[in-house]
Amino acid sequence: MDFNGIYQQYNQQIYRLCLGYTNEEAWAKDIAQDTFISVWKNLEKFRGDAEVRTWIYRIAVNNCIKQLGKRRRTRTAEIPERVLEQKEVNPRLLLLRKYISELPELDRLIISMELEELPQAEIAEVLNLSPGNVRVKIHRIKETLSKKFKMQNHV
Amino acid sequence: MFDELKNSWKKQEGNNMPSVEEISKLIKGNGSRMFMMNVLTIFLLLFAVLVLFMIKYFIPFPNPITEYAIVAIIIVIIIASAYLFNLTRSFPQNMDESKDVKRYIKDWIEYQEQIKKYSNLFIPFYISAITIAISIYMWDFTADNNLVRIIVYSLTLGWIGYAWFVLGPKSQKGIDQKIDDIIDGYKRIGEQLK
Repeated sequence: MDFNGIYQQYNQQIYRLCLGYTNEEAWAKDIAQDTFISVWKNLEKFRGDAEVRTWIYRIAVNNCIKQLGKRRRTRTAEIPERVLEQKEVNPRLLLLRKYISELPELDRLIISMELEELPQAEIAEVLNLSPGNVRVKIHRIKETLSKKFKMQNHV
Repeated sequence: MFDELKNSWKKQEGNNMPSVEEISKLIKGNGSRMFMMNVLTIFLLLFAVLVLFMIKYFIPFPNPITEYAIVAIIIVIIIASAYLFNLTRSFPQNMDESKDVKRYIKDWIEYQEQIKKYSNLFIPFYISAITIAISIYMWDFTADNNLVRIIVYSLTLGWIGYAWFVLGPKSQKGIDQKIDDIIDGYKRIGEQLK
């Protein structure tokens, strides 16, 4: 398996997953980088029991979870100022990122994968959950996010 | 609404992501850093042994048994420190990130609990060993009843007492709190996986 190809194909996806988890670009980039270092190190051990994508996402999820033991650079509920300055960014997207950052850790990861259009069965495999459980969780997360958007519209 | 947001979401791109060559350099850099850390650890251990020999040959102790006792205590402290250092460093390095998420969380909890257990054992052990070594040393050197020495050593013992009863517990409490927060965080995510 070719690391170069894997990296080109997945580095932005993994970056967005990490961004969904941290809502901090530099931090997300660091986690994405650590993820691909793990991918590189473990590539020989990959037995092909799962899809490569599932395997990479699992490594990324574990790397995100590992951040608990590390310092937090910004509070996750905040939108970094320099992001707000980027006028070309869709304001609804920024709100979405803010609302995602207010969710519990696992929900942040699940919704990031859903937004990336990973099949729910694959999300379930990444997290070792049942597909039914993932479906319910995604439904609840979307409900929570929709409520937040509605409340924002009323303000 | 989410379909529209999905498109915007997927348009987000990280700027200046490292190239494959840079990732490769980072991996090689990590490898050589680990090697250097091992070399440094061995060097520091050898240096500590050298210092012990210098103590033995250049500081005249009134009683040779005292000298051996102090050297033995310091050797034990060095070995314990090296073991603890190795434990805290090697586990995260060897952790397999591709394993099942629940197992991964469980392993981190176990690791943090182990760190907490060792730090609770090591810090009192370290202070006790240092106190014994200094007390033996002072006992020997105050045998001539020199008043200045007795005052200096009394102050030293006072400081050790302060470190033992005030600074040590305070610092341990801080370390425990930090580890407990991390463990709680892992447990919280573990609960979300149910």
